[in-house]
Amino acid sequence: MGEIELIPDLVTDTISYLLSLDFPGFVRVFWFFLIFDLPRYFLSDLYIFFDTLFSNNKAEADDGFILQLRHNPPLISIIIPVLNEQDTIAWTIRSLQEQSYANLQLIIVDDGSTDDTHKICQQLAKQENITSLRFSTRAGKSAALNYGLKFAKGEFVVFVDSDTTFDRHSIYELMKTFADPRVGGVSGNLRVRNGNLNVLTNLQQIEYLFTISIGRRIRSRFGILPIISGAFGGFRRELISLETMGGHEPGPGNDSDLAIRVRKKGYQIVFQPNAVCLTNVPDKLMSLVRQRSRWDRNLVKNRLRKHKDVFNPFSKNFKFIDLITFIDSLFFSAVISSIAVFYLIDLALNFTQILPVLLFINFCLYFSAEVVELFIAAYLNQSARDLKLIFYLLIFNPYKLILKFVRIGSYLQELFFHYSYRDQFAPIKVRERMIRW
Amino acid sequence: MVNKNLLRLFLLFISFCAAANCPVIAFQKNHTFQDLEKLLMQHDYAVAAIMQKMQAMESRRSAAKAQYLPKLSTSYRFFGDGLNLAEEDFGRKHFLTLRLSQDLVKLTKVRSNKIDGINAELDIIASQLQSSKRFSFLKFRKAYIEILQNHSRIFYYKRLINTYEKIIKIKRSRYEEQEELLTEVLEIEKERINVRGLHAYYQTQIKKQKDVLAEFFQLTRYDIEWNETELRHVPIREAKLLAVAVKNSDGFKLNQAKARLADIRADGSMYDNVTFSPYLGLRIRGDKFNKLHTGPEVGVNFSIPLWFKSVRTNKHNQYKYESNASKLAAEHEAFELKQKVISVLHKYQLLDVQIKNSSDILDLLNEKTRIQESRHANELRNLKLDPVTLLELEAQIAAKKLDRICFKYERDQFYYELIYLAGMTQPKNFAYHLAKNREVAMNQQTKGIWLWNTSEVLKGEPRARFIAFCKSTGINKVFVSINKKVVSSIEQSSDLQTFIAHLHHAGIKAAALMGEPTWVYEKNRQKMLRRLRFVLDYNDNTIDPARFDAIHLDIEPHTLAEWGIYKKFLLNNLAETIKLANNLTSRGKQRLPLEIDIPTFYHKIDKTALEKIVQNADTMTIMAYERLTAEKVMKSVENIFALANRMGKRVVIGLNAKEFSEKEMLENLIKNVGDKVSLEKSYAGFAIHDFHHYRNLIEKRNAL
Repeated sequence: MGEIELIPDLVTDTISYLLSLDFPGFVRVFWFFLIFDLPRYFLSDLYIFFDTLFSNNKAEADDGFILQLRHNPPLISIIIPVLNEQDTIAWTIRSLQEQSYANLQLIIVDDGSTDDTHKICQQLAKQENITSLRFSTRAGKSAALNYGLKFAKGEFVVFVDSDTTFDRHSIYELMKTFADPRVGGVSGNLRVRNGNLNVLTNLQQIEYLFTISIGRRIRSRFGILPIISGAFGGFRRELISLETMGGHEPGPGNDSDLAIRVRKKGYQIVFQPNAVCLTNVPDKLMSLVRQRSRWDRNLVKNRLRKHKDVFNPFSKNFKFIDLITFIDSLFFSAVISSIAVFYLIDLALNFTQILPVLLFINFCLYFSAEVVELFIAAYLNQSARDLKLIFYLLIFNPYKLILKFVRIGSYLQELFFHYSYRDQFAPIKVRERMIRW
Repeated sequence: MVNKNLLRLFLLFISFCAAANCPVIAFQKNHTFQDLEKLLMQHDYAVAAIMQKMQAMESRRSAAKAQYLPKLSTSYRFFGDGLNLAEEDFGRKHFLTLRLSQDLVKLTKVRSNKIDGINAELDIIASQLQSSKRFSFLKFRKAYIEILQNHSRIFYYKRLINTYEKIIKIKRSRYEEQEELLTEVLEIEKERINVRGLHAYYQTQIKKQKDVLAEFFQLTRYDIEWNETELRHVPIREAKLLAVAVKNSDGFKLNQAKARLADIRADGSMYDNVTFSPYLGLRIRGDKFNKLHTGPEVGVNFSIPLWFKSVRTNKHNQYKYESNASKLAAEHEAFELKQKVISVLHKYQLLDVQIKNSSDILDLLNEKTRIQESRHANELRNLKLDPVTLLELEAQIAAKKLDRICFKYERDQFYYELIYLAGMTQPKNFAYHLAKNREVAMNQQTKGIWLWNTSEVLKGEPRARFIAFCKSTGINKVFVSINKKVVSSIEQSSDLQTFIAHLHHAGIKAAALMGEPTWVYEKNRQKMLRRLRFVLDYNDNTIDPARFDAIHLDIEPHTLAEWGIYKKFLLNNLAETIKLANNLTSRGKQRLPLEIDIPTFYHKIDKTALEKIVQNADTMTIMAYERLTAEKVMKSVENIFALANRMGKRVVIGLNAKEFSEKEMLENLIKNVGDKVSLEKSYAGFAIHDFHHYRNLIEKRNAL
């Protein structure tokens, strides 16, 4: 009869191992967490938490623009590209009609749908302030957006995905940011609508909370936001109109490209956390991997090829803040992902015998940091519902690790094989004519 | 793989279990039908309930033989779509069981043919059941309910036909009173009928209607006769004109009417515009009434002609005739008055309209000439006539105004001032003030107030105090409660007219407030429509500053006792009611906006019903009571704002002054909510309930 193990070996081993470590030893073993992840994710979270905590009490500025928004709101054109969305388009339009903002022009651009979308759009277009446009064959999302831009009459233009729904004050909140004349574009706060569908969507819900609700808030606070999501973002129309800037470029990554071009013109890109929209995320692993690798390829394409003049101090487009923006996004996506792999190799080679213990301690460190982060995110978003995601944090780290591998793979693909030019985002006839940066 | 035999065995076992739980009726071959009935009554509550109800109906019928109609609405009625229950039945104990049986009745759509007697059928079914080997409880119950339903339906139609007979008798007696007056008209009508085959047009119309009736009563077309003489009651303008002319032997009017008749002769197509009801002369031949006793076959979705619907309740019909008569008289008087005014204007040779034929006079009735007339009126003013002649003219019109018979082209600025002279003290720039104040009021957000006891502040010093109170508190809209206490008829609405004119002069809008929770029921909707029609008539017959700007409906079915059980039913009924009200108010040329009061929780009960309600109203006043913080108020109105934004409607937030102990609390709440809500597209302002409490709240503070 052996003794009954009340405490597993792993825990006792861990405790005894931690007690035996001195500080330099601790840093040596957990250098990756302490140097990279702790400052980036944990300390910056705390910073933004206290920042909003103390600035929260400020009353809403009663300046001229806000008064105008309330009493004589400027026209906003909302452009909604649609491709085979017969189930969701009506809901999107409905949620836009329920907006508290009074002066909206809705433009639906049907990108050659093959189902009943067109009929539904025609039905919707009978209502006031809705126009429905259509391509007979598919021409790509960018073409649809640009075509809609041609018909936009508003002072501001908002690009919206056809599978998103909005909080009732989202447009108003988005518009409030334009009170600052230096702001050229505003990014909305993306949340996950189908979050409770399965494990994968729940994990993505956490990820969106961390990277968009908090991450973009921090970047916006420091003025280094590089992207406005295509799902929900607003611009000044004059700035990006077809005459002045040429609208969207054809091909994948058009949203981040447009944001960079706005930045280059000297305007700011800002994140508005109160402008909340809900969007669907992929619920299967393979479609998630495909989506992520597309995003990552665009990062390489936009940062290192198309807009590489940002790195050149002699270029006329050079701005220090843009340089920092680029370095930030490249470092924290590309470099850190690679270093994480190095760290794993380091652990595996040098601490082979106590590898499980180290992985367990790492897990505990990340888990506790993420719990704090989740609480901060829930506070910032004012939604206590997010707290029930805490159980999914247990498997959030493995999920992140997988995505890191995906990321490295897609960087390599793009760097050496230029995959993004073969992306099915745009139809073949458009792809053939695209400029290769 | 599952063994099939095992599966069968299992299913057999389950069916045995089910059979064991079924109600068992010990049935023997020598049982009579009556025995069966008793057994069924013991075992099945639904059938028992129907039987009970049948007995009640029978007894009631015998009691109500003398007074045929008032009892009809209170008794149970069977229709194709199930039981229609009277309002008073909701409180009764056995109502629940009846509700359940209603579903059973719905299940059985009866399409049985004419039967000689119910007993015969019952016997047949009983014998059929007896001859069958196994007694099916459910089958028997179904058949039994069918028979009961037939039975009751036959009684219903018997009674219906009796009432029709009596109504027709009453009608006839009414007609006979007017017969002398209209004999001449009838001759002209007959003459007209013969012109250009119009007789044939009537004949085809009547044939169609006969067919409809015949189908309805399961008769042939020839069993229904048509009395041509009753056509005279068709409300045609010329006929009335002629009638009046003949009666007064007035040559002028007779010429008008004849000219109009000439127009009609020239163009036969004018008959398309004439409102014509061929049902009026139709009735079933007396000897065919007995045939109906055998029971007509009526489909479930049979559409009863309009005329039949209107005859169903005596009260409504009576109202219809009264209103028609009063309308006729009012029109006649207005016409006379108009002639006099025209003659006055002719005296000054300002009105250049030559009356050649009747169409000119009809044009005068139209709005087009009103503009012309206003131009003339302005000219009249600009000419700077000597004050004596002007006053003579004014006095004539003012005298008519005091008689409260108003006519349509009084709307002009010229007449405003005259009326103002006659009724009020400040003579200058009335219309200008009015326009300016209204413009300001349009730009402002509403601050409304409910005024339940209108008669308290209708005239004299209380009125002045009320208006001063509204001005001091920034109220720019008053929901004026309209009932019989306030105003009994249009002719006696002088106080109301001056009250509303005063309100408008102070830049305050007026909405006609009305409503009772029981209006959600189908049978009470006529009450609402009558009240609405009264307001519309009032608006048509009064001057512009005395008109209501909107109609404010306050139907609150959630205050009914039966709300707890029948929320969905009542809410859907409310939607129907409001749709009906909207249909009525939007019919006229100048559409009156419809405002409705709704509580905050309707979206939790039935969203589609709420959508229907919002669709049919222009402004929703949300009664966000019992919420003392801005956050709570905002949360409660969120859903309705979303709906209103989508449908392009307006939303007013209602607060209850009764719940506040200090006026600062209320003012702060209004300010805080206003700050938050002012970004909403559909936000239209606030309303405070009600004048009484609000005044108490404010005056208490001032006293301290």
